[in-house]
Amino acid sequence: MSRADRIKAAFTRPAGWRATDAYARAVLLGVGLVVLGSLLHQVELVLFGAPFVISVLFALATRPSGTPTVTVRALPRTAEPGAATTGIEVDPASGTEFLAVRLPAPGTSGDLGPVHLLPATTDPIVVKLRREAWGDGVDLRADHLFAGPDGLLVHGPEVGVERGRVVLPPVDALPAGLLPARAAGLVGVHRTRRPGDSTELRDIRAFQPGDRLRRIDWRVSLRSPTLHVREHHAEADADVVLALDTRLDLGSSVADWSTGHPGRTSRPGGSLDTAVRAAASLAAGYLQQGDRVGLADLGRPQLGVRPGIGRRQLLRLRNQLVVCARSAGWAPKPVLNRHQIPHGALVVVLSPFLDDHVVEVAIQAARRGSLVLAVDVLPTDLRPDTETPWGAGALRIIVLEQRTRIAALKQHGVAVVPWDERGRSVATTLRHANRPGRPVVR
Amino acid sequence: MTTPVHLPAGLPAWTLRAAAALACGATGVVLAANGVQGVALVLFALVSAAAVAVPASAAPALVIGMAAITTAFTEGDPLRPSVLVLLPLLHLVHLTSALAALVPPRSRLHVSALRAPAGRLLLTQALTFTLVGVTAFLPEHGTDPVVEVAGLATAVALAVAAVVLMRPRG
Repeated sequence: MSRADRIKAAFTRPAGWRATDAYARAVLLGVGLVVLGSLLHQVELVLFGAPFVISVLFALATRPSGTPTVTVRALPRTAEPGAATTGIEVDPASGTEFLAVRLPAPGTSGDLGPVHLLPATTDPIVVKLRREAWGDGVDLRADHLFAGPDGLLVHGPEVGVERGRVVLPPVDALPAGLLPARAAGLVGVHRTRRPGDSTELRDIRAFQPGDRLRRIDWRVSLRSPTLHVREHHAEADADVVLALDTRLDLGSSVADWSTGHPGRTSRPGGSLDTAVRAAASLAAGYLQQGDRVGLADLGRPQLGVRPGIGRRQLLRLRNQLVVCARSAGWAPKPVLNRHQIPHGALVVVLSPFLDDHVVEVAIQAARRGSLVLAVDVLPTDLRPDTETPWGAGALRIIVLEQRTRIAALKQHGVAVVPWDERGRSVATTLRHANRPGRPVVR
Repeated sequence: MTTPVHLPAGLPAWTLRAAAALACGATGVVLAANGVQGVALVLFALVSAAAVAVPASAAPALVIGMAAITTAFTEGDPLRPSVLVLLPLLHLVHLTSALAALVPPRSRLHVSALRAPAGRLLLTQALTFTLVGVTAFLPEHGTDPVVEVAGLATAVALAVAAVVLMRPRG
């Protein structure tokens, strides 16, 4: 045996059932007190040792054997925020009396939970999992230990297999009026400049070869020497591209901007958290209306999702938002190329706008003919770093620079709104953009 | 047919340590009433605190051993009330320490897990007090050396059997 093997063996418990300190104590005190009492003719010592001898005899009579196991039922890969239920199958060996297993406690959230001391049972244990924070996470790790009568013999402890889920970003119901109303089941809700078959009148013009006879406006034609037809607008879907700035994840406290947030996909209440929630809500709203929605990661363009429709697209987008947040971090420059944005698409840029590059890509997208909406996700309640005398001044400079960038965006025709109260400002801005004469789809 | 068990919140596991502390405290009171005082009592209190804090250690054995030996070498009837009170108390110290050592302090304890050990505790105490009753009726004169040797041999055989049986099989 090599030296490494000897060291490893010294720090590794042998597999199987083993005696505990309590067993050694019961044997030592039981036998020791009885023998000592007998030798010294002290009846009290014999009587004191008797319960320990009896408890050891009980333990030996029901000596556990075999290999007990704990099996956790598989969890779904993705889940909605909130509660879920799973089960644990226990196969206790014969003679096992206790099961100590780490399980989430009822009413707790986002924790592996405490160890529960339970009677060893073959009945499955129902476990309620609860996680409100979206993103990756470990929900269950059933570390376990089995024990025999009075805890004199134990099997384990063994570290359980980690069972995790991807909790998708929640979808908030957007306020009424954010998106144009439409009857469900139709394709295309947005009026275009092209002639088509909608019910909205576009023009009345002279009859041309190829025009359908049912389009003739007889009232106008009777009053004029030539036939006239009624021309209607065409209706089409809108392409929406949600451009997510994953290069920064900033919370309210400026002092924490350079620190990480271990164990979580994003900083709770931070700019990335807000941006992802806003993107999920906007995507759900537009997809429910029948529009095509895509995703662009400004920091990692390869993580983008091409525009698509339907519930599967919403699921794909919410999954990809988690993927983007998982790989969020520094990137040299934001990227929003021409091929990422379909012509005439509505581009929603979600960013804290703390650098000039993201302003440039937003303005370039507007120059290419897209309607660009910038959503400012920088926390409004910023707190300066109190550990340095320059904290307040630095925060002031940051805020002023951000205001300058937002002013530059507005000068180039890009509407800038904060994400507040579940998109109330975004709703107002889009309602303004959807007024007659300002079609979303060009 | 198995029935799914819905996991209740349970009690905090420090209740086991609290029970051990109560048993140690009651033992200390009995010792004090039995005439133990001064340094011995302070030492007993320190060892008791260690037993409650670290149940998976030698401290509970020291508590039980100290109490047993101190009581045994105090003058009085072998079946006096203090001895009879200490019999369940010391067993309780042992049992609560053994169970507390199974789980971390911030665990959850489910009362249903305690039914079997509680029943066994009662059965063990019933057998012990049966032994006490038998002892009360035994004659008080000296025992023949042959009987003593036989008793010792039986105790040694029991210890050997325990050691052999606790070895891992296979």
